[in-house]
Amino acid sequence: MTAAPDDEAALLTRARQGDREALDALLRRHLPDVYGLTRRLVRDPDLAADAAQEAMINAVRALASFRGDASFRSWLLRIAVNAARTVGRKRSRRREVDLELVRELPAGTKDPDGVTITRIEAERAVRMLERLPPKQRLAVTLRIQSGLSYAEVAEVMGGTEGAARVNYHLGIRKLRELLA
Amino acid sequence: MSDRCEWVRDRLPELAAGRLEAAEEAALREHIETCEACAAELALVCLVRDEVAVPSDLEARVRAAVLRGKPDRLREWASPGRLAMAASVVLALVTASVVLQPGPETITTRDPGIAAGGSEVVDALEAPPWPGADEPLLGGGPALYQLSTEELVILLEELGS
Repeated sequence: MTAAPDDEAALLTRARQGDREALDALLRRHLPDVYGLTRRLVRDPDLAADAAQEAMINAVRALASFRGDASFRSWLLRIAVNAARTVGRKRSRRREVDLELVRELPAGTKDPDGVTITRIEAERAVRMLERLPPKQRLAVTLRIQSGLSYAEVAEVMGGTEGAARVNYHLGIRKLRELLA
Repeated sequence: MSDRCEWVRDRLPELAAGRLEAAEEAALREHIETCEACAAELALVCLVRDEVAVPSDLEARVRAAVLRGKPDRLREWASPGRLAMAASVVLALVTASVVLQPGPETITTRDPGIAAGGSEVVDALEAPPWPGADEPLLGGGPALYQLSTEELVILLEELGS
């Protein structure tokens, strides 16, 4: 969800001053993006929820240090990536397999672009996404699933826009090979 | 790959999400109709796109956790394995408190009522008959049997950290 910049800046100022309503509004606005990202990175729903909580708590603690060099959304998603990494270590110990991530699609559903998507294909694509090198996977996830621009992907990943673009295209190429 | 293909592929996520201006979308579609490789990449982008629904209770949980400054780990704790472990530890703590309690009417694990089976143990926990059972534990806190399951889980988590 993209917020009007002025509105967001005002909310941030008020939240920094301890205004709980403003903090609530920021939380409500960005939780879907934060949870969406942690869910895609961690997959286990409960651990993804824990990661989203962790990210929000860390963000609130660090709110005073947010200088606005990056957009608030990018800054928050970067914190979410770190939180997902932390809980992801727990997941690797639990070795859970979760197929709920794939949306329920009846076989043969046509999407608006006329591309036939079956549930099995979507499931396989999501599994293959996990096999990409970490930077490529993150770039593809942020670009396609979180809907970030290359500039925002760079802000979240901590590199240049060019590197974000290269990682995205390498990831797409690799994904195509894996699905072939 | 031509410059045109590169331009188009850079915008496929926005096309798939329906976030392009009408003129730009029309230009992309015009190219995709004649370029098999770009059409295949659009299909791939559509395949990878998914929608994740936020759990209905997550906003309230996060709000509470933010105010508390500490994550709510109850879900993670409430897995069947952990609950079984927690139940074992609670039982061990209660048994120990019974065994170590001084006084003539102290009930031990050799008591036939408890040794007979699980239901008696539950009854004993619900209505503690032993002397001193109403005494608070550890510096004025409530006795174990007065705690709810949730409070017991939190106590165990704190003991374990």
